Amino acid sequence: MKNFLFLALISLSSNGFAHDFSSRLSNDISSTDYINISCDNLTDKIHIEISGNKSADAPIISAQIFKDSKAKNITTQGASRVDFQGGGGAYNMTINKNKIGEVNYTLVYHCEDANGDHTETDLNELQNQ
Amino acid sequence: MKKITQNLVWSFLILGSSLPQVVFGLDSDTQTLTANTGAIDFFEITCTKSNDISIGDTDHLNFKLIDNNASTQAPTQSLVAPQLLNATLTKSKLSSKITNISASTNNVFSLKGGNGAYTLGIDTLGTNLSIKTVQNYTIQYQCLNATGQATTGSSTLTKQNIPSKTKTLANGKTAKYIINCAKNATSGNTDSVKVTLFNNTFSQPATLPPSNTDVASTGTLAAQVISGNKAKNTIGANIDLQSGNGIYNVMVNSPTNAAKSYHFEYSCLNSANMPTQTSPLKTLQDK
Repeated sequence: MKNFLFLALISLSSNGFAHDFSSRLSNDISSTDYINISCDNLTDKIHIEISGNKSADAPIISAQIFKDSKAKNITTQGASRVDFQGGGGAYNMTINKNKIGEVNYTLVYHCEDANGDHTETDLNELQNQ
Repeated sequence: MKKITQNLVWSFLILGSSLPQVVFGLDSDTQTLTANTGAIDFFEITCTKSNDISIGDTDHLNFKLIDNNASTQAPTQSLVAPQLLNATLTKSKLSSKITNISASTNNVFSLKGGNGAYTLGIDTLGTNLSIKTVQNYTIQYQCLNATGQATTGSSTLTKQNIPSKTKTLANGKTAKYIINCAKNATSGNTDSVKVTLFNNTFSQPATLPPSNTDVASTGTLAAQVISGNKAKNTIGANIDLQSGNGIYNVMVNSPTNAAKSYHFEYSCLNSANMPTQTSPLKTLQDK
C-alpha cells in the first residue's frame, strides 16, 4: 500500500504540475519561437500563461496558440493567460514580439481534462530564434 | 464581421495558350480584427508547382502586412527606381526606340525600313542597379506591308507572330537579335516590322526596409507566417518564408488587443522570385 501511494505520487508529479518553458527572442522583429505541445487523448483543453518584461519601453511579447482551424493570442501586456479547448493532440504555439530588442519570456503550460485535472503534456521545440 | 474577398493587386498577364499564365500577386482585401482579447484572424494559403516547367516548384511565400490605420507606411517599391527594359529597332540609319518598359507590362513599337535585316537591341538602362534579380521578357514580331498585311519574317528568336520563349537579362547587360523581313509572294514587300516586348519580370520591392528597423509600424498589428516547422513574425515589413510547395498559414493579431483594419499581399514564388501557383485564400477563423 505504501509503495502504491508512493508510485501514485510519482505519477501525479509527472502530470499534476504545470510545466515551464523559458527562452529568449533575438533582436530581429521577425524572430519567432515555434513549439509544439502534445496533450494526451484525455485532454479537454490546454492552459497557457506567458510572462516577460512589462516595462513600458520593452517589446510586448505575444504567443499564438493554434490547433486545427482555431487560434488564440495572449500577450505580456493585457491578457496573459488563456484556456484553449482543442481536445487531445498537438497544440502549436508561436512566440514573437512587436519591437526590436532581445527579450526573455517564460511560458507556463499544461494540458487538462474536463475536470481540470492535468493530463500528459509534452513539449517539442521546433524553432528557436 | 468582415468581407472576405480576394482580388489581384497587380494583374494577370495571359500571353496566349502557348505561354503560362503569370500571376503577379494576390491581396487579401480589407480585413478587420476586433478589439476582443485574444482575437486572431487565421488563414491558409496553398503554394504549388507552376504549370510552367521553366518556373517549377515554389521556393517561398512572400508576404506583406499593411495596417490600414497606420499614418505612415514603410517605404515600398513605389519609392525606388523599378526594373526597366528598353528596346531599340535599327536598320541602316533608321531607328525606333521604346523606353521604360516596367516590370509586368508590355509595349509595342515598329520601324519602317522595308525588306531586310532589322536589329533589335534590349537593355536595362534606368533600372535600379541595387536590384540583383534578372529581368525576364518575351518578344513577338511581325513583318508587315504598307497595308498592315503580314509579309515574310524570320529570326532565330522565334517564328513570326509567335511569342518567343522567356529570355533573361541581368541588369546592366544588353541583348541583340536579328529579324529578317522579306517580300511575300502574296502580300508583297515589307514596309515595317512591328515588335511587342513583354516585360515578364516580377515587380517586387527593390529596397525593402530592414525588418529590424521597421520604425514606421506602430507595433499594434502583427502577423505570423507558418509552414512546416518554420515561422516568421512581421509588424509590417515584407517577409519571405521558405518552405517549398505546400500549405502556409497566416495569423493576424494585435499585441495591444486593438481593433484593426488591415490587408496583406502574398505570392508563392520560385527561387528566382517568379510566381508559381497560389491558391485562393482560405479563411479558417475570423475574429
